[in-house]
Amino acid sequence: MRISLYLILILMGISSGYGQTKKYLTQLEGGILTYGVATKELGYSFRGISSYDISPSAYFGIGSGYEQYMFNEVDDKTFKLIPIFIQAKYILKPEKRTSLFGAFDLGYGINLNKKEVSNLSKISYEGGVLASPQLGIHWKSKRNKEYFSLAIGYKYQVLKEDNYYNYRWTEDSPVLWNADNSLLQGYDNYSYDKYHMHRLSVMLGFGF
Amino acid sequence: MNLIKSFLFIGLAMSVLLGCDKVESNTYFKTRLPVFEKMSVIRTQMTSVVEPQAIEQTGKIYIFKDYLFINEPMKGIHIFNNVNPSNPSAVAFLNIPGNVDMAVKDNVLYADSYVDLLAFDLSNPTKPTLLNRIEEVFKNVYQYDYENQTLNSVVVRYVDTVVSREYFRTYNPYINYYKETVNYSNSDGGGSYGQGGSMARFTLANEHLYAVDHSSMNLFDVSDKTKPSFKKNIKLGWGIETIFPYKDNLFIGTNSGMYIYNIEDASAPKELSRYEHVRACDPVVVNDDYAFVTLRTGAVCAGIVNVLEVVDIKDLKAPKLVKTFQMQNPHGLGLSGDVLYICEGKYGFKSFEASDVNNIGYSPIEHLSQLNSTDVIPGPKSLIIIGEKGVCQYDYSNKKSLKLLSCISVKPIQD
Repeated sequence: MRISLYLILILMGISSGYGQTKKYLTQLEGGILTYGVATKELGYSFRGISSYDISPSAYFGIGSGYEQYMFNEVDDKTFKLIPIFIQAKYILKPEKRTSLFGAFDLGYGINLNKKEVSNLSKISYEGGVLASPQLGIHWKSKRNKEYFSLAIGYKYQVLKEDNYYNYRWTEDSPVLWNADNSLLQGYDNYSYDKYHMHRLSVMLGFGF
Repeated sequence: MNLIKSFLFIGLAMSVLLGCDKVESNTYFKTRLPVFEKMSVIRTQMTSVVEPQAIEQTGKIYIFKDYLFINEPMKGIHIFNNVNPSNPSAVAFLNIPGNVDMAVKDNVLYADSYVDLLAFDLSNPTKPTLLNRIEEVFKNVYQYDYENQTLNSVVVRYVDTVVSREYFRTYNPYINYYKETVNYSNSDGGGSYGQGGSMARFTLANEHLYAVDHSSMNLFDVSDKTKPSFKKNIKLGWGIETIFPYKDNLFIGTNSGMYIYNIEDASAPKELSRYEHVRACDPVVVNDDYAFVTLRTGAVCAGIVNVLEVVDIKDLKAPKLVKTFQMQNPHGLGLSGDVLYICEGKYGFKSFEASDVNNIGYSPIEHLSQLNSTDVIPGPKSLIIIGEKGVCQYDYSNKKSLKLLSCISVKPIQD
């Protein structure tokens, strides 16, 4: 969380420095990550994006932030991560105060969930690829220097979980191993889960 | 404003689409798989008598004349010369694959070997010789071989292995279903009988061998000791555990009660009564007037009580409960005169004054708390107690104080 705040502040700092030139845009946004129109197992996302104007309509930028994904299938998992991504953004009518825009994010989500080790289990997490096309609308302020945005998008995020665990395998019997069990690292069970999270994102932003 | 309307329309359309998560899972887990073998192969593997071997695990015990027989479950029988109970000496190991129980009469040892019943000549107890094999009489031992889809194999051992499983599932919190795609790569009749414990599943009486399995009793005519013959299978119902003969009656312990069968006509056991109790493991011993039944909790029998029940059997057709005494985890038991011996598993070994059946539980004589015990035989020379750690013999001439004579220890299992 702290890392992501630093990243956002750094991005803001850079953007502020260049903001006067208008070639750079800084956008701060926050919103929800949901399975659909209802709000069950709601996640959230806060991000900062610094973009460079490569044409009056097109921007290319980098971004980061902090996100939480809820996944309550079995044991109320909460995946926490820092997304780091590049963003391509196209503003349909940049000259107008109100305009549609499209954006596409591509990057990697760094998983922040800590390794959990006990006598019975060892669980570790990894992040993975993220991709997110969005469609939104810009409202410029009267000063024409700031804008508000609302975007709805599809969000794809990969997360990985390595889970080594034991349960009720206490029988001491002289049985033979007929398979290589090194993969289990001394535990009785190992599961590798790759989560492909598919969510709807609804983000509100402020840019300058 | 048209732009806003367009956006709101597209946005609303997108938001009504329910999202979901896809999860790819690869699991690897230890599991114990049975190794199947055909009986024809097992029969060729029996090498009969070999040199004495260390005991790795104790099973049933049996005494015959001056010899002590200790079953090593699924492997065979250790034979000890027990002339001097203070110093029993191993004389041989009878290699019988799949053996779990035994009984002896007139110098003939009857033992099971998976689905077969074997008869050995014990004229020279140090060198039993196979007299006869009756094939396929314990068919309930056969297990379904799911690989070959046959029911004519037995499980000879288990192997631990690692199994992998790949599956793919979809998770949507709004829909309560999961789609999965899985890829799997003992008697005092005529003749000379031996003596078994209260946990025995084999017993000999009136020229017949009675062998119980989980749901039935197999009856063999052993009048011709060289050629025992299978007579019939009597269905008893599920949960049969132990069989204890007394005079002309069989007392069969089941996990839901005690069945009493009259065997005056040995070839046609006749059910006299069924004494029902709560579900538990229950070995039985009897005297002329009373049956002593222990009920215990355990994973196998799923019992919920640990008690000793005294049952009045003066009228064998109408057994009735006299009294129940709380115990710790009673397993096998033995009765010698006015003393009742109870094996309390890991809680030790106890003896009780049994002359007054209404006060047995309140009349403890001795408690050997460190003696892990599962079954007991009050033998002619010694009290033989079997437990997880081995077989110990005690001088029980002084009922107030058991005197240790010897112990045959179990060799620790090597991992």
